[in-house]
Amino acid sequence: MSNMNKIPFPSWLIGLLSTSIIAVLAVGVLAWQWIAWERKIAETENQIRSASDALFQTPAGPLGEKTANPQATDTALKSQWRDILSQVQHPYFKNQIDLFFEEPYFSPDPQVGSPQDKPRVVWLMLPESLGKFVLANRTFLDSIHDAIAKSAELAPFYTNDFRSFQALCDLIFLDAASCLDSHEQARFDRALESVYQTQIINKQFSRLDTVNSAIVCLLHRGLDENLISPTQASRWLERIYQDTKPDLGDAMVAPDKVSLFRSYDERWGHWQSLPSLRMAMFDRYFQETAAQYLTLPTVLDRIKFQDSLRYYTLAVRVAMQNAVAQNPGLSRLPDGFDERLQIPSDFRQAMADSRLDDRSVYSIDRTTYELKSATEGQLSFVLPGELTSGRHPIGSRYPMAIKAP
Amino acid sequence: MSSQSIDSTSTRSPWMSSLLWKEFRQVVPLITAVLIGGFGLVLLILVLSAITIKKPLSFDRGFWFLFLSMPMMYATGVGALLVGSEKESRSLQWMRSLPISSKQIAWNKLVVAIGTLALIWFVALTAWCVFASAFGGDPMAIGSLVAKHSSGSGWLLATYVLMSLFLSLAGLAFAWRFQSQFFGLALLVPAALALWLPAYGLANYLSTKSYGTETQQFIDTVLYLLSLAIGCVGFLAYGWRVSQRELKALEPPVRTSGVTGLVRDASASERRSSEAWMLWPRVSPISGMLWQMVRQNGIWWIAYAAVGTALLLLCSRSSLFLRNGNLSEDLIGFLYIPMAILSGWLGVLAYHSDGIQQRVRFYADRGVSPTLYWCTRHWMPVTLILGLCLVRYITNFGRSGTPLDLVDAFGFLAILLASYCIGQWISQFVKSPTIAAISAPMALVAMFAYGLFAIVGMESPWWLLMATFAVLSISTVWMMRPWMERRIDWKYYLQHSGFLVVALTIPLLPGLWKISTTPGISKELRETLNRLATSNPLMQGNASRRSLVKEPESLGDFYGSYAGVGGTLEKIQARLESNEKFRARYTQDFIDQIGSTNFWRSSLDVESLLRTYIAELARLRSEILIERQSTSESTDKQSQTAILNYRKILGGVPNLVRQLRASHDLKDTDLSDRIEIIALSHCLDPSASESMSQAVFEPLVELLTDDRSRDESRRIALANAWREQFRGSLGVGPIYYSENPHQVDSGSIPSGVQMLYGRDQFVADLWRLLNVKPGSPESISQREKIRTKSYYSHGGMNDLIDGTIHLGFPNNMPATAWRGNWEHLTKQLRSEAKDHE
Repeated sequence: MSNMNKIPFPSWLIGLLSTSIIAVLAVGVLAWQWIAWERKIAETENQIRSASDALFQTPAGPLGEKTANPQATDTALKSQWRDILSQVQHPYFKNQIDLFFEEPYFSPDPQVGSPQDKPRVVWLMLPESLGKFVLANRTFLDSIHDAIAKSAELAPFYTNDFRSFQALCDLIFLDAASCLDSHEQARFDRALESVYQTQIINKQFSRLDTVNSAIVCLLHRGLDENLISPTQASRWLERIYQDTKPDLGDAMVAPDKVSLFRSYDERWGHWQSLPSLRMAMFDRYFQETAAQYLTLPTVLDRIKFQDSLRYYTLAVRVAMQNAVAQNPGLSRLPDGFDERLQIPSDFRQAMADSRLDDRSVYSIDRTTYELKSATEGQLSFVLPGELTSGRHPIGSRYPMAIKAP
Repeated sequence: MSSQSIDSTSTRSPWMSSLLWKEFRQVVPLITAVLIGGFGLVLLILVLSAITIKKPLSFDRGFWFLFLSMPMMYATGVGALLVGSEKESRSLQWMRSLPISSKQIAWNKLVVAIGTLALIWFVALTAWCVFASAFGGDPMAIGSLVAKHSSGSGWLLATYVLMSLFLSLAGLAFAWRFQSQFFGLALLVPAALALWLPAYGLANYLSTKSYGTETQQFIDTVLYLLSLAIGCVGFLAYGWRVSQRELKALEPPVRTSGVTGLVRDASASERRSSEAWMLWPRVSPISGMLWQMVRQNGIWWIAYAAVGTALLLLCSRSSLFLRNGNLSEDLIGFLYIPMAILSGWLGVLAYHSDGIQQRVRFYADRGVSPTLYWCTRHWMPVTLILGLCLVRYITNFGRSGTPLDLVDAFGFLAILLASYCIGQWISQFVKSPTIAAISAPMALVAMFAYGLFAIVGMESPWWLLMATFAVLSISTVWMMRPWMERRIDWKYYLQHSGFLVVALTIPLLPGLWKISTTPGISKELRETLNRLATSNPLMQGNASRRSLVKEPESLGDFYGSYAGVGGTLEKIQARLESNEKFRARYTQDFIDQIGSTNFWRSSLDVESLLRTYIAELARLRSEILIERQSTSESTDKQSQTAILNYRKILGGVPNLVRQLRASHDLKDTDLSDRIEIIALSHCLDPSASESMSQAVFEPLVELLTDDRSRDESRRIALANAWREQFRGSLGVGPIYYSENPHQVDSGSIPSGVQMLYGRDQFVADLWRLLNVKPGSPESISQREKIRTKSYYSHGGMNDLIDGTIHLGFPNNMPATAWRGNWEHLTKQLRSEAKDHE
């Protein structure tokens, strides 16, 4: 037994043991570091999850509860709105509205003129049919105008059916459009106001909606038919700017991780994997989703540009009408016309900052005015197809009557 | 008896057949392992594909390689098994003592090797033809059975056959030449390369001569076949020569009797060894055991570490995770798979290196602790694996700059350790080292597939798989003593199999638990539903009521007015005018027919009909209100008509609702609920009783406040729908209803089971909803719970909130109006009715 105590411990075994211990310790240190990383990532994941849960659990206040408007408690008004929104659900209205906003097939008849000269939407092309439709539903339309007038500030619309509300907006637009042919001044004014109010409300549902499109279209048509004066148009321009400028900048914000996490977690959260892998997958999901919004700025940019361009055309037209009235002999755009234009800087900025390659095509430099005759001039714009076609088209050429001083 | 005096000629026949049978018996385990492994893999892949891929499995030429692996695996191992195992068990010496010439021994082994190889080929090809035909594919699709268009692909089968022949002949030759089976197996790789590289080089050189594609393919094929043929002939000759030399060396000595001479020589040899042993310095048992392992396996460990390090250096700065989130297939194929196979073989080496020639008996006879033995077998291999993990981290450090570098390194470690665990378990389970070496890669593939199945198919947490490999390691500790003592019998295999079953079951436990706890419906509820459905069956004709019943012309025109207009201005104008006419004509028709159940049932678009219903009622009410506010007499007639129509529509509601309920159909019951909601919205109007008249108002109140009848009809309808598996109630097939409905199509078995039970869960939850009081907190929470568990809940619930009718978007989920706020509002009607009385 005593000999056993003197058995030498080979040096190579010591080396082997040391190597093993070093390897185990090194891997242990790495494992400890890894666990620490995973716990940190798991904490981050839990924070995002909690924030996401809180975001989705917070009930969104219904529209109309933003203010303590006493009208919100007016039961008669509520009842009136309920009836209106119920009636507008009728398939008859949906069908007729869709037909009136249709752009019919165009046969390229040279006598008809180029598509750009004449916007091709049914409500413009069939004023008689439009008039019949409006007449058949006059009572209902009057009740709508009445309800809107009574609900002057942020009318409490008790509906989650946006289709019904959109149908409502389209109906009163058609009502206003019908007055262009019948020249009903009072009705047109009332309808214009209703259109404007509903467009403001509609924009709260969908920030991408272009408020300007309907109103600017009607104002241009109103000027064409002399239903509104340039002075009234200027006032409208001021109102449009005041009511829509805050929304130009934040039309659409790319979602952040908190808002996207819920949909990801519902789908993949049950997979038992490491927090780092889950978060890596979520980061990839977020990048792919957010990338869609990165491409959208092109779309958003175009919408903002077009909104500004609509406003711009109306502002230029009103300014030119005033200029021509003061100086009938004007044969072209005055020098420095652009600088003197009363266009808010936000709109100018939106047009200048646009990343569209073709924005210069539609700028003031391409806007022209020429004398057609002693009594008529013509203001011409270069406008993209989205403005000269669609549901609310505007023209690119505007005749200007020259009155002798 | 002298071997020279043996005249084997007269006794050749009986010896030959027995010998052949003996040789065949020897390779039966390998045949079994190869066939089971091959067909098992095919089955595993089919099952996994069926579970994870949601579309039906289709024919893929890739399956051919699974069938091809069987003869290839067999050819690799047959030589080592036939000769190596006999060398290890020293039965060759015994055979040489029999009256059998060395030529016969070698010849028999050759015949059995080639014959059984042919058998395996036959089985594999037959199975492939059956498999391909069963899946509608062409067995000839591998392009190897018929020389098509004189292209090289027509000779693939010949190449494969010749390759397998080459492997078997080379394996035999190396097994004769070398003592170590592993070494002989390992040499097959350089031998094959030595054959393939010149052929490849020559083919490459000739390809520059621009002979044309077909000619070039022919030349390539001929070169490969020629090189394989040369290799076969060469190894046949070499193997024969070596076999004769080895067998001649094993001849018993002539001058003495064979047995006595052998014993005397063995005694002398042992005496010399023991004398030499006693002169060695004393060492501790552990160092001795470790030294023995180093001497025995050192060269293999060095080779493993060298190959591993080389591969890691080649794959340095290559992350497993690509930028797009996918795994790097190159890294998996070039690093992970080869290292996993090598680690598996490292595990096989752990015990089989001592199993050869029963070396482990040395420790068993000396009472060495099995645990100590186990630790010393794994000490160095595990250290090597840990070292490779560190090398992986160091060579990949900072590649992604995220903790994924660590995940990569530890993932690599996990794969190596897992493969090692499997290899060491096989090493103890499979007695033959050759079979163990061949079956180790197959076992690795099977375990990987199983792990994938456990995680994807059974929703097992990934960390639970560690328990599987831990159990496999523990099993070898547990079974070490019987293994050391070579008590390998049926009890041994049974115990090992038990450990394997436990190891494979552990990852399945969470999924099995989820399946077992999937709620369904209780027995009592099942009986109640059956009783209700039996005593209140669906009314006749309901099943077809939604089929191709032609709608009244006016109604069809109404809804389809816009469809297919054509787009010209004239057509649009015509449609506008016809819509106006239809509306003027149809409105009264609508009012007259809306109280009829047939009218509702015959409609193909109930949603539009409901909206029309709501709109017409609202129009009539507003006309009545306007009339009240107006002082003009000219509206008298119009308002009278409005009042009459208003009362007519609402007056028909109680009968309509009761008739719809009487059908016992869930869709009709839901429709009746929605009609009740609409009616309620009008009844709650302060001037309702005046507008409607008492004759209409009171029956409506009676209907709306009759919760009992409503719930009773719902229960019956639910029972029928459950019995009919919701056919006709839902547009889609299964009900996506579970705790997390977004996971039901995840492809896992527990989610699939939950989906199967979704119908029962849904019914049970709805039944529970009906048992709670309307308006109570329990009803609100239960309703919300049902909504969140339904995959189709995005459509919204039907309700009456703040006077506004919520119909939601059309969706296929039934019972969305049950226990809504509107049921609580009916109580107001009750109190109003009492006040009125």
